[in-house]
Amino acid sequence: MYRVRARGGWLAVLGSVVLLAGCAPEPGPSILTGTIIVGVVEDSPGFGVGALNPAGFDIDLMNAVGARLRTPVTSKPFTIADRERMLDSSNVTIVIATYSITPARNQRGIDFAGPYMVGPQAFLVRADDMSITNNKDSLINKSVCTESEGTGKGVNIPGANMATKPPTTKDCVDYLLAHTTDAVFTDALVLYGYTHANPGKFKVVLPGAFGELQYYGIGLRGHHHADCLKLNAVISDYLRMQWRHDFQAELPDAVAAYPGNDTSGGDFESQFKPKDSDMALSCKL
Amino acid sequence: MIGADKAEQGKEPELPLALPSVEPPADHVRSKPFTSVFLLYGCLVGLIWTIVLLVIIAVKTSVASTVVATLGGAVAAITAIIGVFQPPKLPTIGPKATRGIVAFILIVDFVGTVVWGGWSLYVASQPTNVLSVVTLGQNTNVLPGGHATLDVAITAQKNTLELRFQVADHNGEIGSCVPSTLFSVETEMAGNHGGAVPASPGALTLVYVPAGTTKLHLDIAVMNTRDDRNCGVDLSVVSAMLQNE
Repeated sequence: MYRVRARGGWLAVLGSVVLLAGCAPEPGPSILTGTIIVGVVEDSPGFGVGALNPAGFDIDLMNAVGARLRTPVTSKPFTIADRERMLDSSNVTIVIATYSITPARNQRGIDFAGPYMVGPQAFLVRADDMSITNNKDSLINKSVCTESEGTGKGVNIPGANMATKPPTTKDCVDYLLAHTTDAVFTDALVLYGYTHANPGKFKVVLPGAFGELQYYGIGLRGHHHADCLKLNAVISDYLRMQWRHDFQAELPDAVAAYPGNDTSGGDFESQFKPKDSDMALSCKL
Repeated sequence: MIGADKAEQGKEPELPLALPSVEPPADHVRSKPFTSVFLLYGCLVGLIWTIVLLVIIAVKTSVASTVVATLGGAVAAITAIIGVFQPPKLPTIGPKATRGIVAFILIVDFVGTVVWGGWSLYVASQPTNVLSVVTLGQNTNVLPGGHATLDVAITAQKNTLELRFQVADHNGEIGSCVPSTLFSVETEMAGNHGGAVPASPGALTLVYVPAGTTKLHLDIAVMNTRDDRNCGVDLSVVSAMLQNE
């Protein structure tokens, strides 16, 4: 009698496990085998520039992923607006392209490893434009350009004209040079890349005044949890061993902006390097 | 003679109306004080025992126990007063019957106390779900440094409110605030502030409920560990239970 009951209990447990397994989405096969095709941007100084021999922080991270996973990697340049479409259509395996982790992207089936970078949003203005200062009110009646697929497009900047929303940040920067717009609003680190690439032409103002902190992660299609965790391990190693060196090399204007003299702001590492607790944002799917 | 006979005849015959006098048994002589004392002290012990237990239960548990304990206390007080001014004249009954009555009263008392006490403690140990009577205020798009409020009716006398909060990004298109969001919960009663209790999304938050509280007003202060000043969050409560800790 006892045996029958015990067997019945085990069968019930087994049945529950099978049922639960049936409810959970089936994990896909590993995507980190063979050559990993990495989607990168080609028009973001400091993160990814150049189609043939790309360079930048994202490219450094891409190479670190290949080296630590001992897998060949190849970059596939695209514009920021194409990130999600390229992942959805499996044209790329992963995306390392100033890709902010957001709940909305998670809901659309994009998972993220990381983050490997964190920073505020800010405004890029012409260096000789004294009308936009570090006062929020100086943006009233100004034309502010932001890319159409970035997180900046959803930020409300009271009094500013936000009608200009081209596909890329580079388009906005071109408008700024052409005096078609007064300011470019996006991630501060991206803007520091532009100041470094265009010495003396631009300045970054109002960091953190509008928008939320952006956490850059490695994007991949959802339901590849084991692969996501592998990438997390790579990022953790990278943060510990290589992050500081690469940041100093690729984003010198950001380093200069946060030298660490001001104890309230801290240095670039305390500003832009993710903490262990930030990993809670990753591998949600 | 004849007259005398007539007189004799007119007289009713005398019947033996009284029962023959029998000496009462020796133990019956002793039974009156013995019975009174035994019955009196037996009931008194039972009554005190019941009242003490019910008062203990009432302190620990719910309104029903308090009512029963109060009634028990009132009955005891009235009985004591009557006993002082008009000592009870207890019936003289046999010692076996006396023992039976006392034993019966004690058994009923014991069973009643155990069942009632057990039930009260069981009820007290069960959490009471008060999620349906929780009202949140100013809980959408709360920025770091901002405050939300929570009001809840205390529908059961328990000493702890267990809350589980959930935090969501107010605008999930522009960033992620949840991992860097913390908050603290502070009780406000009649203008007095209790100690602030630190809380985090998804974790259990325990709030002390003072005895006699019928409504609780909480102030929830939202913070951001990364000082992300524009990080707006929507706060909600996913579980709210009253519990004795």
